[in-house]
Amino acid sequence: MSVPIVIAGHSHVRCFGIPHSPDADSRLLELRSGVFGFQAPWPRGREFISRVSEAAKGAHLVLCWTGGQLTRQHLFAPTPLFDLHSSIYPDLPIVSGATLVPEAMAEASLAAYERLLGIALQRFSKTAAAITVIPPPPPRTHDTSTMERLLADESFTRRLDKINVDPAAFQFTPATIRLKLWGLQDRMTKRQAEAHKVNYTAPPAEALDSTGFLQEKYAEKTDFTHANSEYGKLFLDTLLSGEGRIS
Amino acid sequence: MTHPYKAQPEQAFWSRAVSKSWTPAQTITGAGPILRPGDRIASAGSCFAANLVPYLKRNGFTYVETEARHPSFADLEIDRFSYDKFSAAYGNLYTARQFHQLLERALGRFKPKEDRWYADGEVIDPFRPGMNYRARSDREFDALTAQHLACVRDAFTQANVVIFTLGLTEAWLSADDRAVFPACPETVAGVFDPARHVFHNFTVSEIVQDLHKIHATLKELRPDVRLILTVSPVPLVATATSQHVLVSSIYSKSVLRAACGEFCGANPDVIYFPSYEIITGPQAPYDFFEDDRRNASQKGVDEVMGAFLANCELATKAAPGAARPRPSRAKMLSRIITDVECEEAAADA
Repeated sequence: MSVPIVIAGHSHVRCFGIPHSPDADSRLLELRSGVFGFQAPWPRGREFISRVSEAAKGAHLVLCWTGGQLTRQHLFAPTPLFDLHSSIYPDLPIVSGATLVPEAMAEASLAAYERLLGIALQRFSKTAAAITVIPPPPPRTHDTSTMERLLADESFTRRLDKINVDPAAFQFTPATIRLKLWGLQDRMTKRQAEAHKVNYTAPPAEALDSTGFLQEKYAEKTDFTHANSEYGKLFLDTLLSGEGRIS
Repeated sequence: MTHPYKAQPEQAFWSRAVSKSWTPAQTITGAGPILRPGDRIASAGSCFAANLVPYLKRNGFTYVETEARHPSFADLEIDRFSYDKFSAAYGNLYTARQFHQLLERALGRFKPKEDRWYADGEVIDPFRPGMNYRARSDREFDALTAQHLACVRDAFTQANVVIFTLGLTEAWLSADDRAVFPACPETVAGVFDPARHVFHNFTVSEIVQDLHKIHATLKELRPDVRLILTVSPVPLVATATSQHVLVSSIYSKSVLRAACGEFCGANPDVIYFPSYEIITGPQAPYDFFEDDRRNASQKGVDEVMGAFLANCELATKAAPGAARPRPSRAKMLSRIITDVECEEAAADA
């Protein structure tokens, strides 16, 4: 008898069909036969790690932890713009006029992701039968109209008004830079998987374009950062088909 | 006719200028203020040269900074070796030769043969070996170095006043082309190779020649530049000679002081500022140095900078941009968007 699969993590696990509900009780939802999503209240509190640890007991845990630090740090373009030479995407161009920063410095700005993932893996290794760690989805390219549409949403405008920020004065960090940063976060995910001797599964190649961006059809239409349920389905298919490590 | 001392001012007499009525500000002799409002100042030299920067900023002077850390990374750990403390991120330039070679590199006229070291998948800059964030490929290294040297060139093109603090005479050179390293290879990074790395103790005449070259190159970049020289009071951390470190330190500082004297004598437009004398002279109290008797104390630096600023024409208000870079508004906006979308904090775990 195969062990149950439990998918858990922060906001990026919504694409697997785990509802994003502030008042939800902590519970396992059956997504497919033998595959469960761990639902917990939002925002995630300090007790979340204990709850995941408990839910993962004896299961194969699929973990997407804390999400896209690159988005949190660098979704919008700073002044001056920075860019970096990527050791992961060496063919991506440098944006003209950008200040170069060392890739190692850019990686350091995302270090919280790796640290928190490491803590989580150490904890969950004690209860889970197996773990597969997955990175957050790669960035999409974002065109101007997407940005304008999303920024018009009341949930953003209310907060931006409060701090007197006019979003029209900002632009997205160019997509190539966000992809380079995502590459660093993906590498951190692999590194932590190796360090804790757990599995790592990359985003399904089918969901990406030839450069490595998330294709628009797999992007959540109502926000900047998340993938949609099509992506979740594709990822789960990949995991269960053996292209990932679960079968 | 009477003897020449009769006509000397008070400050020429130890009994009147040091034993009694010691006033550090009077140690600067020369016509006119050292700095004037509107001056754009760059500094270079040993670690002591970094000490003056906050004083200049607080007193309204414009300190030229062409390579400040990008604001998106302002909250990361700062470099340990003062790269963030100078007009461009060159760090400490302990010898006059090192400073001149940096200017020549910035102008594309000198390319050291031993210009990189490799270790653990990283490319190390031998001229900035303590950088926290190193390149990971030759291509990245070349691009970052080119950007750095352009910033160096910009800094000394923008600045109409350059303050250079001479720190050491002892240095380690590349045997290939006499390129001067800021530290002996392997002490901070790299691997020491006795076949490639040679010790040199610069003489007065060599330093004077290097100062002439620095002066000429700075004028090439900015014809109206004014040069201010100081000697660092901070003793050697270690000597490579057979002498006791104290003896080597005093020798080294004496050579530097003599070189400054000779050079300034030949260039009346260059100002010598006696920070070394104020900190180390017999008049100086014990607590002008920290307990290690090496690092100048805050009290000592305050005295030096008090004397320096007393000889400047001060601006009326502080210049903007004196603080360390802060996280950008773009970063703040990025966080807000993410928090709205994710309803989570990264510190959840």
